[in-house]
Amino acid sequence: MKPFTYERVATPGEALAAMDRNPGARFIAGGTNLLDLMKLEIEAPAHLIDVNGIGLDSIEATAEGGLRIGALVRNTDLAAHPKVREEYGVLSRAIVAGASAQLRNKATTAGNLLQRTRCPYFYNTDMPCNKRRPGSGCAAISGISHNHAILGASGACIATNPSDMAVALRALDATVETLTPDGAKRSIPVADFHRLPGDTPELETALAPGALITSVTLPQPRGGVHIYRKVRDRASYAFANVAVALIATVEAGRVIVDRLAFGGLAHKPWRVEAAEEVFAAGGDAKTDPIADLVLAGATPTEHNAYKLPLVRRTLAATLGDARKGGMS
Amino acid sequence: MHVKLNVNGHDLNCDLDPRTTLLDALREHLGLTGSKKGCDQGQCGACTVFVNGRRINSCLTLAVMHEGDAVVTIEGLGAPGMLHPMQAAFIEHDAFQCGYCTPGQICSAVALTDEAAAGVPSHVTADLCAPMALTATEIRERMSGNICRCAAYPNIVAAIREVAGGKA
Amino acid sequence: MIGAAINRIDGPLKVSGRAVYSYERQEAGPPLYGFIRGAAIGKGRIRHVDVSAAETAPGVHLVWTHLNVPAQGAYVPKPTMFDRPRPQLTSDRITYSGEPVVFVVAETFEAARHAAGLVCIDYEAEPGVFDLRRHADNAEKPETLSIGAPAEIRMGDIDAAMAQGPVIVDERYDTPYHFSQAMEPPAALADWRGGHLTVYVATQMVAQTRTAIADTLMLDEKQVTVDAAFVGGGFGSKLYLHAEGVFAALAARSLGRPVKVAMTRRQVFTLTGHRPEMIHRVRLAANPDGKLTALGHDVNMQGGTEAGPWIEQAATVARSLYAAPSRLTRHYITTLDVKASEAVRGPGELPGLIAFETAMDELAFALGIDPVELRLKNDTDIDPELNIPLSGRRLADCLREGARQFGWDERPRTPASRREGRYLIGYGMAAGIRMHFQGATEVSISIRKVLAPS
Repeated sequence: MKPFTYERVATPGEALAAMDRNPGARFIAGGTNLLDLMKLEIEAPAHLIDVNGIGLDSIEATAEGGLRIGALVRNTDLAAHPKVREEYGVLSRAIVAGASAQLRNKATTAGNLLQRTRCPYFYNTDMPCNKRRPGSGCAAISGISHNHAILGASGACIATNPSDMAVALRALDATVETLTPDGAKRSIPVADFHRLPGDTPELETALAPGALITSVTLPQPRGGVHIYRKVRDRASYAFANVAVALIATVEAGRVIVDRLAFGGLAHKPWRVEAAEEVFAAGGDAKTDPIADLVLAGATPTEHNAYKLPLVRRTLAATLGDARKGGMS
Repeated sequence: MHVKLNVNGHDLNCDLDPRTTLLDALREHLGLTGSKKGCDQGQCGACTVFVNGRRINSCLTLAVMHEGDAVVTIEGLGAPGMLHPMQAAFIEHDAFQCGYCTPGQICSAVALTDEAAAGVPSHVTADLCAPMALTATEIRERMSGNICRCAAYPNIVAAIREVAGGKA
Repeated sequence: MIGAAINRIDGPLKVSGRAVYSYERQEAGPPLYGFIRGAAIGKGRIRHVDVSAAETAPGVHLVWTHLNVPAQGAYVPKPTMFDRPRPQLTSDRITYSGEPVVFVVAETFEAARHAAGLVCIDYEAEPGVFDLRRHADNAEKPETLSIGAPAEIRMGDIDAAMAQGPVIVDERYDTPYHFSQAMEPPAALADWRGGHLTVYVATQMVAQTRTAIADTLMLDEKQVTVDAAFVGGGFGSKLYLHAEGVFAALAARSLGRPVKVAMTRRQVFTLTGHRPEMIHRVRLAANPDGKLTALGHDVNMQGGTEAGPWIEQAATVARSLYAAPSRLTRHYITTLDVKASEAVRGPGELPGLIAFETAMDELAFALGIDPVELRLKNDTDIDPELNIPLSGRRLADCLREGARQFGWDERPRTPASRREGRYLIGYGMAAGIRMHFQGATEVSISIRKVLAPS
């Protein structure tokens, strides 16, 4: 870990001012991803701004009948909140499907959105990586790519975004509320928050440099059956190979897909609205037409091609769970 | 940097490199070696301690971030002759061999009963909105952030069931 | 006391965090902190190294590379294995990924870790061979295994027996690398005082580690004490002396201050050995009644650089398990540019049994005979190769009792035919055998009267 200076701030305004004074600083809240990366010197901020004391840790109703989730709400508290469990169940399910209890107790809403890939080549500073050192190459493309992206990837990077929470937020049409360095409010739909690698895999989110996430807002609840189904190499405490977030209604045994998003497939939650719109007019959800739309343009490697049939089967199982009322 | 940490009820002053994790502050600067370094990257749970009543991985937080917080370690839960019921249950059920994961396991075990009682769901909770029972399946899932290479898992679950069984 | 269920006497210490492991020992007083950095390439050499930024970093007491590490005793491939010297940083050559290239001692762990990364290393990488499957044809057959048994034993004519059959199995099985990965990363704290070195080190072999340290540091054994009061798991990974023990000892002597070193979790993969990857070929020939006429087990295992070959006794299981007139067991080793293997829980027999007993299972299926019956049919009261009576053999009793307890006769006969919820239920069985070393043992017991606290 490189040496750094450290300060605590008490308000969002102080946080932005501290960032403005210290180019190359990082905000630290839960720190469960940032500190991991700092120990390996993948992140090396010269200054840490501890924002744990700036409030932004409550969950409140919005005027529109939705929910505002403070940036500093801990993952555990978000998953356990009665309104989230009752009306945004896919979000609770997604959060408790990820990490461990210890990590969920510390990690925050904003931090979870900002967590970086776990690509083992990104994590190995002896290896070339276009995220860590733009232009140095991508070791994963010619390496072991068992859990890398099959969608939205590029010749520069095939990393995935590891967050389960983000997949649920994408299904829920969440918005990320931020304050730009000059204190102005800026809203970023979660759909646009994470970027695909293209030629600049080092640019990972749409967050302006020096900006501060203040909250995540959810629109009114959509009702229906909420499912988050995660397929991974272990039964617990492992990242997704494929994950499905589904909100659906079930009428007379027919499943009508309302919202559908996938994790483990790309550097952002993968949602294809066309797959949902097919069934907006009625009819029963059938796996293959949906999966065809979701997987359009897929670029699997030799090692992760298994994800294509796995997406189909996981989607089918999820739709089957929905038919049974959501128990899996 | 000067840091005042409240650990097991005592205010302790230290002068620390800001890079010092809470785990290393405890182990290297405060003589509290009960919390263990198994991976230093939040993947094994051997470093689990309580901060303000919640279990966290002390290897993935900085000591300087915890001025004003109440930290409780395995040493604070109980001592030989005055063991916490969970510590005693681990002995009775032979829930350890080498003992290196044990402090983290016990801290997690104590924490999970509080979490379940507070209504925190887990990945295996069938109904998010119904009261939860601490079944063996729930216990295993809630303990999944603590690894044991001696494979004492069945006995760990048995110890936890004895202490937490019937609660939540 | 014997036969009574008693609680572990160290239980209260372990459950309350009062059991003190090597890195945590306090007797020597406040230590300095060492940190190892491993090679970034798999094979090649160090062309140039610049330590200036590391040496001048705050809190740093020493920076060692192959250019300035103290002289150490040379490696000797002693047959006693665990007492071999393990000199570090011996040359500019890199022979496996992660091989130590830098060692730093500093006032704090954070300073040492950071300074190790400040050393600039210019490598010259060379192509290497890392994949057993791709290079299996380069296998060599040694004379003996690491435990001293012959690498090959041949009796009768297995090729003829296989040609005759009538029921044969000739299959290949691949067993993978395994890493012990005990919860406690290997760690050592060394204290040099008055010409005597005390090393608190996580080791499974106290006396041998003492010899290995003494020989590496070119000391008399009497000058070395090894103390391993509590060890956080080993499973084979703490049998040998490793880099952290050597560096802690050397640095404590050089600096005249206690020094402690722990491996990072990632380093445990590269600085301790692992179970070698193996390719097995098992051949079995049997009559329709299940009696074996031939058995053969060839195993080709990955060998590595540094510290001499570790040749596991994987194909020896076939030598003792079952009777058969034609027999051929052979061990091969394919040297790759990877770290040498070491013993991992159940070395030798464990991967060998997976292959051999799987083949027996396939033979049972081919014969249409109960797998338990097949073993019973080929059981033996005399050692099948030495032709001497066994002083005791209760494999048959184990098989019968196991079958009874598990309800073997009620098992589903067709694979994938029984389902419970999300799970398919099947029954399987395998025999197990392992040699054990037997030798004269000395035990000393002392009884001390302990006064009750007043």
